Amino acid sequence: MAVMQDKRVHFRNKWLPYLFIAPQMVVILVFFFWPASQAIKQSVYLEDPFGLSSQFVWLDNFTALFTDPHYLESVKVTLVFSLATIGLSLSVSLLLAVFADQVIKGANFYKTFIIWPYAVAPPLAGVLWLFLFHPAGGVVAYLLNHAGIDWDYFANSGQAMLLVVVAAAWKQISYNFLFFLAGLQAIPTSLLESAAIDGAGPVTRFRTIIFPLLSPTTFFLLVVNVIYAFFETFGIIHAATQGGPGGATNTLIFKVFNDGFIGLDLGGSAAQSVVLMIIVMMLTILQFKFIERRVQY
Amino acid sequence: MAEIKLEEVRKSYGPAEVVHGVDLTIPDGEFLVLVGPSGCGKSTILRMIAGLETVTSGRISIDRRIVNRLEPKDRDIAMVFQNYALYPHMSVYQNMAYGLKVRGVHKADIHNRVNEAAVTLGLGEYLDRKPRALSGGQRQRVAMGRALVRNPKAFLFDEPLSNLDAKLRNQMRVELKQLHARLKNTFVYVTHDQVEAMTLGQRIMVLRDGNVEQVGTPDEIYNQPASTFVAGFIGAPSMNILSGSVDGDAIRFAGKAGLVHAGSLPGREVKIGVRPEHLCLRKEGEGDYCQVRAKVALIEPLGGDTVVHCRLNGGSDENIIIRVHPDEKVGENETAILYFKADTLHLFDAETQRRINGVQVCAG
Ligand SMILES: Nc1ncnc2c1ncn2[C@@H]1O[C@H](COP(=O)(O)OP(=O)(O)OP(=O)(O)O)[C@@H](O)[C@H]1O
Ligand SMILES: [Mg+2]
Repeated sequence: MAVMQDKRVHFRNKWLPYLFIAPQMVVILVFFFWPASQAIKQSVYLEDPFGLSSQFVWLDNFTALFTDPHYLESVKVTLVFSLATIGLSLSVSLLLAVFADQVIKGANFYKTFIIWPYAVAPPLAGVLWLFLFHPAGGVVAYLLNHAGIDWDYFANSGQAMLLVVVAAAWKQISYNFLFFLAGLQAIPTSLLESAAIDGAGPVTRFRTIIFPLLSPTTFFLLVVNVIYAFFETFGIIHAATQGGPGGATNTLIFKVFNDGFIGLDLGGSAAQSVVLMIIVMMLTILQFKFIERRVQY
Repeated sequence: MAEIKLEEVRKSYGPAEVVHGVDLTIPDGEFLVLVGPSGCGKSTILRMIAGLETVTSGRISIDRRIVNRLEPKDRDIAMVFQNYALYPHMSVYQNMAYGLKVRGVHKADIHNRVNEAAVTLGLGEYLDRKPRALSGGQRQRVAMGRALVRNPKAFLFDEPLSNLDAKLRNQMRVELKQLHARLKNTFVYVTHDQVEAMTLGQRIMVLRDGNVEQVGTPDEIYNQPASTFVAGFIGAPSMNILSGSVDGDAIRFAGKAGLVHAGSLPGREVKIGVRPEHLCLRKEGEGDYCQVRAKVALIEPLGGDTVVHCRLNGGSDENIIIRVHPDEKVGENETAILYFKADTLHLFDAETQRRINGVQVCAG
């Protein structure tokens, strides 16, 4: 009979383990559950901008939200922005990782080189791109105008979207790159050698061996990137376009901030936060579900 | 069906040369075994034949065509890796069909060939399984099946049995030999196991540090080892190598034991090799017996026979191993007289470690 191995640690004092996780729990309570519960509460109240009076309005804030054309426009903007950002950052980082994997010898230099952008905080990335592309003083903007391209992302909504997508993707490439590279390195060389002998050229090998074996990594990154594009790109948009021009880059997360703190519509802003929270929850559940079954092959 | 030819093949990684000029012709249909200790360059040579490593200098040709610059897929060879290299996300069927599919073979044809190979290898009921749901031996068979279905010009094997347990290894060894007898393709087989080398190879190439020590049939390798290295590497327990000094027409070794030689020896020092199974505790019938005295240090009963480790008397401090019948009465710490026939011993040059041929010796 097989002896079951119990890897759990047994504490003699049964309160000790709770003590160990207490600091973590406090942090989560103070910085997550408390604000989250506040948001949920506010989302069903109508409050005046000065916070002097509030009125319970059931789900009115939500109905208002889903019938508001600005909100639906923002959903569309977010989808376009996220798809473009994720597509760009995933494909570029996969390409770079494949190159890096091939030149493993020089990879150390290359790796640090690519990880660089990840060390830059999002607002900083926004400001950096702002400096480069600012129509009135940016170096790249100057060159573009010189080359005959009418560059002004304050007026041209397509250009504004392009700028924030590239800036947001650029920021995420290093993270994706690391995971892709790790995934590629985990594929035994002998598999690719065997495929080469079997008659597969580089493209076929990528399509039939590398890509399928990389799919758990790709899926994981997909979820992470969706969360990133939805929620963590606030800094970039805040610094670069402020959601403009004319709401062209007004993504959901930026709109929460804008409506709440600039527009002082606290109830509507809270309702938007709650919608975003539900989206994150669903994404996380999806990811956990997948990770449970990830040893697919 | 193809002849494989290596001419002055060298391989360097950076400044370090690891294969120092190998010349070898493997005739069509031969089962050739590359054997040698770890790190001697066996895999490197095999991988150069497969096209997985570039050739630093020299030429490799397959079927009279120089392949130095040819991609692996254009060489029409198949390779079985030590870790099997099965595609983990594909079923057994897909694994075996892969090479045919990427080459654009017709679906019905693939189906027939895979099923035929599966029957040959006893994999019929596992075709839908993923590799992780197979035992080591079954994975090994799938790897072979993958090579088999393509019917390539040559099969290359890199230690394909070393991950199996001893019993399965013996069984697969027999099957491999039968497979070769049936297919009659050229097989190049890398191993560090001298039993595999002796049992499988029609010819064996013994390598040491990137140099060829000897190429020959198992019989030649065993009975006329070209160097002390080959003598020690092939055969278990290893051949005993004793130091001898030349004194006129006599050779002295193990203290005062002596041999008489006829012929010219290259130096004053020689090595005398004698296999453990050629040593015995008593004379059997008439013959030209030499004898040495030794103290029994350790006895290892192996069932079928007994290995006795002895220490030679006479101050030379050399160990000698003999293999005797298990009924032989011998006790540890006893002093024994060991006999061997003069015509079973091997002479080597002490300086070059190479075999000395054409010198007759008799007990003296
Ligand atoms: N990519 C490489 N870069 C540098 N040196 C290498 C490389 N591959 C192999 N070597 C060296 O070449 C020599 C021969 O290696 P090889 O793999 O051919 O040995 P082997 O005979 O197959 O050994 P084993 O029985 O352990 O598999 C070794 O000394 C090894 O260190
Ligand atoms: Mg090897």
